[in-house]
Amino acid sequence: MNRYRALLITAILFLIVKGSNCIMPLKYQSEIDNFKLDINCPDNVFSPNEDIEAFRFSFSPIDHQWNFLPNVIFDRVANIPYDYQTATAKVKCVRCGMSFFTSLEAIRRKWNFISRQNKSNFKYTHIAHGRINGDDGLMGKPNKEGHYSFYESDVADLTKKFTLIAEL
Amino acid sequence: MLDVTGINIDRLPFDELEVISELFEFEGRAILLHLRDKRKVDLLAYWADFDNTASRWLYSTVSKEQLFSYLIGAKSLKEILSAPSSEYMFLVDSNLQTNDVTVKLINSYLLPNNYLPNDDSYHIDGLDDFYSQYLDEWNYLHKLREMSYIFKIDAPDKKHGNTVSTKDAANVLNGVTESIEGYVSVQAFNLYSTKYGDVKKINRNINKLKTRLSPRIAKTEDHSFEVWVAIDILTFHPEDDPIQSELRSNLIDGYKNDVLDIDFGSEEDAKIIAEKFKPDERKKIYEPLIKLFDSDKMVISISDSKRAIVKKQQKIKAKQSFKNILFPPPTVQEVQEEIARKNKLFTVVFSLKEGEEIKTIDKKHLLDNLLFSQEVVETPFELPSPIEIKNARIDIKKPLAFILKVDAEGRFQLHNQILDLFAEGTDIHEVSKEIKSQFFSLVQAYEGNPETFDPIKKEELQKYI
Repeated sequence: MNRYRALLITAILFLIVKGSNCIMPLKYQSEIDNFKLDINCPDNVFSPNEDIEAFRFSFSPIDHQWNFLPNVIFDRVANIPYDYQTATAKVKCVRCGMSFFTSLEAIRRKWNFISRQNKSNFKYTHIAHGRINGDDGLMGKPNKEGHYSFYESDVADLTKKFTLIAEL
Repeated sequence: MLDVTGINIDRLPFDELEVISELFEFEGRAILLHLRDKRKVDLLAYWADFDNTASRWLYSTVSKEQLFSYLIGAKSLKEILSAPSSEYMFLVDSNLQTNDVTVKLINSYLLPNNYLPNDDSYHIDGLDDFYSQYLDEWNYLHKLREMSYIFKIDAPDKKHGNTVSTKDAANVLNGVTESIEGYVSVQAFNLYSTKYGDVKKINRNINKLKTRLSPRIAKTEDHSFEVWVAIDILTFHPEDDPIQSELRSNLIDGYKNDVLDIDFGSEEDAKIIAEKFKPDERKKIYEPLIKLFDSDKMVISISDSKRAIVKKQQKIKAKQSFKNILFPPPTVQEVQEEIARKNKLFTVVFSLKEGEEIKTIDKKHLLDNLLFSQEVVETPFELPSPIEIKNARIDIKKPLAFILKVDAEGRFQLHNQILDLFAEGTDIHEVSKEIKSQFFSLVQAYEGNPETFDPIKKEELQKYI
């Protein structure tokens, strides 16, 4: 009986790991599950050992309901069209995370490339700044433009860790 | 979405559009794409607008030059989209709910300002390996322009507007070329002579280098006559010759610092030059330029692409005191030696009766029948078959062709560029003997190992043997 119990626990752990590639429960795991992806998601992520700088496009006030939503939910609530039907599994997985930047310069540079019309369409009003760590979730490796995806843990409250620092 | 004036069309007029790369993304979605159609027309697609059902993309053709300028960070995305290469652009609306796609043709000048990014929309990552190859031609030209010296020539009066005569423009190009080639040959000679004693071999190498590194025109401008002249070290990779490598690495800045970025009115600068270069070296390098400055027909200004040298647009004139230090007048003995040494070439036309052989006619008869003579710098020259040296002989199919020149010092030079044969000296017979010896060595090398010869040289040699 002990042997079967051990096997069952191992199987459950395996399913958890396979489903999320991690042991940390994620706040928006259901969005990942909805896509029924045939890849590990999120993949190539890690729990930061120390505080990491994070900058994000935001709305005022900091506890606005649209702040800190993963891209897939933000697209829905803000009515931003995205072709999820033809998107690859990898892209869908990325959209289940939220976008952070490593520096103020990096996030401003991104904003420079958006058309004036789309800036108005997005309705972002501010840049928020905070420091996140392993308790808050999992992050992908920042790319050369200073952007990284972040998957919030189910116990995190990012509104307490961020402040609005600049208007857009 | 914004209401934009245009004409609805069935589809984009580009066949088999493929995405070459995603140039920019925003929060995980692509917002700038580089595409190409089957005719190799390049386009940029930019996410310009959206509403709750549809996304609107702006499609604009882009020249390779514009693409290059964008990718090296010289122009922003806003500048590229504001000054497109075509009068027309396209707005493509994709409705994700109905899958409908509508395409609108618009005049480029009617593109709403709201569809443009910020002024600061510069690409900062530079050219990656893929684009270095894709835009190879522009990459080369850009690098060449970065190394260029800029010569601007204005006419002293505005009788013909801002134009200069073709003769004056040609004189400037010739003078600059002579000066640069002179600098290359001086620097190369000084480097080679530290290692090798064979002057003939050194001169042969120098001649090849002068041809190889002869300046290129990298750019011209419409107003007045402005020409960007560059020494192409980009395609010059002398991996096996450390002397040429050293020459390559110092040439661009060397010419700028030693020759262009000096005060042609300063005796101090003249003394520095006089210490650095021997009289004949100074003549080769500086005399061609000073002749241009002395001309009353033009106003010259000199700069470089980084505007590090800026000789204002005023007449650059070399002061007499400057010239006296650089080119001290010769002594009587030097003049006599030069007269004795210097050779000249003339083209002459005689009138002879049919049957008269020029070799058998005496000098007086020839001079009595001289119709025309003109001093020339170079002329075609042939060595007839057989080519003989000491006891060896080669019968050739046709006369061996050369260019015969007399250089500034009055030395004869015989040169066949394709076969890489070069000899010089004050005695034409000695020069001919030397060139025949080189030809023999060449034929022996070919007969021993023809595979080592490049196809052009091989083909040329086979015309003779």
